[in-house]
Amino acid sequence: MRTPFLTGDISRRSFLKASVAAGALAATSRWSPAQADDPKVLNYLSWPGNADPYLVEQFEKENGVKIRIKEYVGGDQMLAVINQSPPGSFDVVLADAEYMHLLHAADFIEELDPADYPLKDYWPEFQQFPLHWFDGKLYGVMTDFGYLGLSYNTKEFTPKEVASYAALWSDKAKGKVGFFDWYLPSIGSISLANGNRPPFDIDEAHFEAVKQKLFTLKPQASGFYTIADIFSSLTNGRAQLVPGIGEWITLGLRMNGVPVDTVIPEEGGLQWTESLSIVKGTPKRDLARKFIQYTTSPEGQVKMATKVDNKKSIPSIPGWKLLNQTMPKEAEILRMTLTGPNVMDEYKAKKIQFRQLPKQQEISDWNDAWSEFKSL
Amino acid sequence: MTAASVTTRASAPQRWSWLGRPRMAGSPAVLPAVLGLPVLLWQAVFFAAPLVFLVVMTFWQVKAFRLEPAFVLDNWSRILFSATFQRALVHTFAVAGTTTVLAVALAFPAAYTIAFRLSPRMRDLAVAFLVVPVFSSYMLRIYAWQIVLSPEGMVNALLGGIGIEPLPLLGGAFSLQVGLLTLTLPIAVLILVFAMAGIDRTLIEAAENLGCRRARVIAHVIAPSVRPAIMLSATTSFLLAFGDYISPLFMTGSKPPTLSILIVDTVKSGSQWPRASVIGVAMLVMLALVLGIGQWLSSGRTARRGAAR
Amino acid sequence: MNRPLATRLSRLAQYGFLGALFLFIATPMLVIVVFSFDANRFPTIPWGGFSLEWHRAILDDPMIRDAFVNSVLVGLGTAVASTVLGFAAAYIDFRYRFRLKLPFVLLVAVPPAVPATILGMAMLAFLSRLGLFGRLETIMACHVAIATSFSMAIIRLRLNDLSRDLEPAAWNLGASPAAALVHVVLPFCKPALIASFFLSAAVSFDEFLIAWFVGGVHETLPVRILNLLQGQVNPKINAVGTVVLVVSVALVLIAQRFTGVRAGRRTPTS
Repeated sequence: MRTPFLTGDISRRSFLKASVAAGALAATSRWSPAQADDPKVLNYLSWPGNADPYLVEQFEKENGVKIRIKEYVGGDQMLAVINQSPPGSFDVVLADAEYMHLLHAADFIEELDPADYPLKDYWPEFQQFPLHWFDGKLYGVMTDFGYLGLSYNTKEFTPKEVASYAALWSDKAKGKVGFFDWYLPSIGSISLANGNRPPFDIDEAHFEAVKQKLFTLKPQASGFYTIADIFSSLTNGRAQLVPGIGEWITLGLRMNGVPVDTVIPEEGGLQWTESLSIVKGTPKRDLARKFIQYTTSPEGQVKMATKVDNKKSIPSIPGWKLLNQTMPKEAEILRMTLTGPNVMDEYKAKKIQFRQLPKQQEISDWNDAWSEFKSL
Repeated sequence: MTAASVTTRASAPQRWSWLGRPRMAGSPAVLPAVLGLPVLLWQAVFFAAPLVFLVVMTFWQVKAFRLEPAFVLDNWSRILFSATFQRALVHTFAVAGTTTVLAVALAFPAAYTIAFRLSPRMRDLAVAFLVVPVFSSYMLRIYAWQIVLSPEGMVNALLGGIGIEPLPLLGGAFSLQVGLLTLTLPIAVLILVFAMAGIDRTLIEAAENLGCRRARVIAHVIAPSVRPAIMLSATTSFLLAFGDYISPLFMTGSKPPTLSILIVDTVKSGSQWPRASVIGVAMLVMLALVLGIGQWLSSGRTARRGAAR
Repeated sequence: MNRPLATRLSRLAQYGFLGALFLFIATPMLVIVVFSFDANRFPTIPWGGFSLEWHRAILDDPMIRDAFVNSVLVGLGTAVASTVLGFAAAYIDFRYRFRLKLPFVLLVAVPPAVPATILGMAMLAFLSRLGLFGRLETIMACHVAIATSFSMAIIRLRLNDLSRDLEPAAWNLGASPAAALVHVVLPFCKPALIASFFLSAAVSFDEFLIAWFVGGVHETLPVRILNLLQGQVNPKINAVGTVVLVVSVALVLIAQRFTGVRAGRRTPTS
């Protein structure tokens, strides 16, 4: 039972050789550092699912490139990754508006030329979306948006019962309120419930009041969930009411037969937006620009709106038109028909406030309040 | 973990010292250096240095959401004096302590049955069965427990079949312990099985021949001789449960948060890695303390027992 | 053999307890496998019927394929490097005595005891400053730092059974220490080396937090699963999980086949 490897005449040198056997493996092509310089690869930092072939295959074919995605869950992971990687590791980043603010503050993203992108085709409300401009300069192009309100189990609650955030404090909701584990939309909803408009621009006294109001929700809480757990706890009944999430979760579930829906309560709802930015230091600025152009084109927008399990609204009017032509049924489900009621109604009715970073307090003040609430 | 302790335990006094052996005097240190330096370097660069850097980072600052070298104590005071941290600390200790007690209490009888009641063949099978989960996807197994325990999950479907109201199994202390025992129990049992299998059978037989009842044999022969192993499986369970991130996250919806969860939450205060590092370093210090106490308890008792004889 | 009723009842209770405990350990693994063949999109009761849809879906998913290849590469590299390093560490612990031996052994043994959240964060922060962020080699290097502990433990156990006179005998016959190491010690350790190879591969194949932190765009399979788990409920999870589970179980079983570590010794002479 002796093998040559173990019994051959091995000198000290070959012992060392063995210890770099791993290095020999490194000679194979895949063992190279991040393919940052490969002109045929676009490195994309994004929420999960955004490099799904359904979304990007056409772009890859047209340009003869491959999209490599680093998926992150939550903007802070994204910031950590971009903070720790050498410049040029990523070419494009998809971020929520508030994290785009951080990316800009930390000087990670480039100024964009508005003329490069079809902003004029957007709904007028989004052509100069305030959170994407800094000192009159554009840093990100909106790709999709949605609203956050109150999501609920339609078997347990009637639309009337959830017409106000007050439903969260009802006896019926005791131990059944699930929270999305992110301070911003969660505390934002409570701030709305307290009548603050805009909910993120409040002084110390009002912030203190929001905190106290939040803390009274503790007995109602079922848990603090990641996105995947929001999906599963709405499905399996652990959570029957969830503030600060929206149709981008409940619509997909409902189409799979889960009895859930989202309302924008009378106190108002929040709007989230995702946008694409070019990462500073990329050697592939042109390709990055083309990718943003593709995503904001009518075809790219329709794909964004109709990808599996994640239902989003899109800002491009030609996108809406194409969707209505090619997939009228989807357009109706997504409430993006050009005639009749659609997702722009709430916006026009001024029920929607931007989700954004706290204006008068530090981020850590809000986040610490959230951590304190969780630990009560 | 197990590996660590098995090794240190196994290092019996060495009789062979390269210093005094003439045959190797020509280049006494070459072979050990060739063998040892790569190990030393590797562990230094990829393990020790990162941990040292973690401590350094606790004194750094975050400016414009970027890390900047500095020497401030603010991170420490801000974390250590916050009610959130203190509550999470107490909670984490309570949770890990409960897991430890449960794991050892459940592992002891199981290990006893495996070591003394199974045929050698079955015993090996049982050991194989226990080793597999230690090295196979804990994260997935927790995900599977969600399917089993959720309000509309398998258990409740079964209960519903016999007309029992659904139980809120998921999302509380019960499910958290299920998760943590999934992590700790196989290891706790393994440690005890190995220790019990090593007991000299003649000792047990002698005790039985002297008319000792089984319970007395367990209490007076088996338990004392596996006491170090009990301490080892206890400290291992504690260590794993204390630092775990997956079970609190997926089994309770981090309600309330443990220290591991708090680390991740703290980063969310705008890239607050220094403050998160403070929690990390604090956890390491506490783990070291617990391990030290465990070591002291098992060695101290063994010594006293030896002296009493 | 007529045992008293009490004894028989006690035996029954013991076996029953053990069976329950094993069921507890086995349940989650069975659930993953069973639900990977479930036609339902979300894992719920009742079972939606047998389907290979999700297994096919993971074969078609380039990210999962890439992640699998990455995992195999990292696992192989980790297995080789940590077996070599683990052997070196175990032999040093076995053969030599020096003043700083305890710290040396601890440096190798302790890493698995540090919570991976903390270690991953520390490795990311430090290694990125050395320009080592975002490479497969970095994931491997970090996995080696952890897996070497297990390798050392397995090989050290085997060395315990090596007669302490064997090497001196070889030296007396004129063999250099290195030659004795190669001709005497290595062959003796072969089963443990093989076991350590597969076990460190299993450790690497299963690790996700550190790989997430230091891997950058390079995902290993467990990292892919973590992203699937956190992103949204994805029916592919159970299918990927089954693959991971089968691979880890195979690796561990092979390792075990070679450890020679048995619960208790059967030969009374030892």
